[in-house]
Amino acid sequence: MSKKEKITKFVEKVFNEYQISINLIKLERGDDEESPIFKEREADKRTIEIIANMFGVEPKVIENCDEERIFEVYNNYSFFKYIKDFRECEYYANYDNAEIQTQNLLNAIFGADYDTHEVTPKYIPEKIIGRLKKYLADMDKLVSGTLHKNADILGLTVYSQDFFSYSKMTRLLNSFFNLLGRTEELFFKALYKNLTKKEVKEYNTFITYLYGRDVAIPTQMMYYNYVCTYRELFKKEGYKTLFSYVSVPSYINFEPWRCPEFTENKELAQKYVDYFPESKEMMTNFNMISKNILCKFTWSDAKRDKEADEFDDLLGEELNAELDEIFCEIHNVDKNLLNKEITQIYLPKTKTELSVNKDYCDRLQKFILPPKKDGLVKKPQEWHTSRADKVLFKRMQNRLKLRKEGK
Amino acid sequence: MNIQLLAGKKLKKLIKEYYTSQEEFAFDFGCDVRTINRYINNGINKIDIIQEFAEKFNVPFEYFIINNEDVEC
Repeated sequence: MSKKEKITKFVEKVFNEYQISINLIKLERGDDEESPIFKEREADKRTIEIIANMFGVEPKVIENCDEERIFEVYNNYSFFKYIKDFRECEYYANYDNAEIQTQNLLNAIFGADYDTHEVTPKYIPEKIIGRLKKYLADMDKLVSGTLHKNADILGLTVYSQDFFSYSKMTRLLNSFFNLLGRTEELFFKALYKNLTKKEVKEYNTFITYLYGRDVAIPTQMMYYNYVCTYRELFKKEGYKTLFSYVSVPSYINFEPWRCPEFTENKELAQKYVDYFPESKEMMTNFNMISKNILCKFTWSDAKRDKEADEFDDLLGEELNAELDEIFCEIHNVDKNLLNKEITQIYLPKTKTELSVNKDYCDRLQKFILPPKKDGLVKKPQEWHTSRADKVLFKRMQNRLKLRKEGK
Repeated sequence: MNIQLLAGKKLKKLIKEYYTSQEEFAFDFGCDVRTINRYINNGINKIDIIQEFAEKFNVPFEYFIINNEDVEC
């Protein structure tokens, strides 16, 4: 195996192990996602430096494929162990239990890599449609016009989720808060003095895992060197929390409320919402789709969507019809359904479908209520004022100004 | 009485009871205040949206569509 192949394999292993996108390397290098990790015949110096910086280590560590050194930070933080466990439980939650058991048996026989994508989702339109029609008929008695008596239901899609158990939830959350807290501590420390080599390694590893970027410049990773370059500006901005400077993508929020264990500790749940305020509405959405089956369909006599009319006005009817034709062909969509109003309804789950989840839903619901009804309190991030857009623009301008001055 | 408008008025009533402003509710619910304003003034014509508000305030769906409190439309 050539040196380049060896390093590539090592880098892929490190990134896969902690579910970090390998594309991050290419983006840091300024290339598109399609390009290989190493573009040259040999493992080039610049790419190695980029990877080394992502983990706060010397390039030699990457060149020597020194696993121990790379995994040092990961091994010191239990969060990385728990999150892997959690993701595994999450994966199995969306499939039929019996099929999963068969799958596990096949895995045991044929090895862990046996394809696990063949299992059937729990909720499928064919099983739901009869119940949906009955529910629409019942609703029609309350809200006339809900049921289109002489029309058919077309293009029905159903979506639902169930709770899944993760017994180490408290430990997972606490370890996550530890990681965020430590990242915050190191970030603010770096504004005032240089970090030690060990601290840089820790900080950059966390930023890589969190995919932490500058709030004001979304393409810019918030690595230690960058923080040092702009530290005076950051200090002047004067914010007190990490997320006022560092933006993380939504997938970092691992939606722990999907586990019943989350509903057992309101204090931890509140802390989670303090870090990720949008979690509160995500909990509402989850509670809706775990109590119900979200059904989306088009009535055969549905009116044309208002937005489609606006689009027609914009492009002209002829051009739009042509585009519709192409769209239907590419996406295999029935032309009769295109641009028609979509109906969306929450179909309540049966007692059997809900089973123990009913209690969990009731407990989660207490969190999503208005604060006056003792629900969780959602506080805006400190820079999210009514003038947030203007403030953000100004912050971006200040950074670009410094960059122009040669920083 | 128009059910859509009634649902909008009922929403307004709940917001008044549990929040200090429509803005505060919109933030807590996770949507634009203009959308809330539109529901209140023009009514709510989608069942799934009423279902979501019922969930948020933990009231039955019927609360939004039955006028047993003489809510003015």
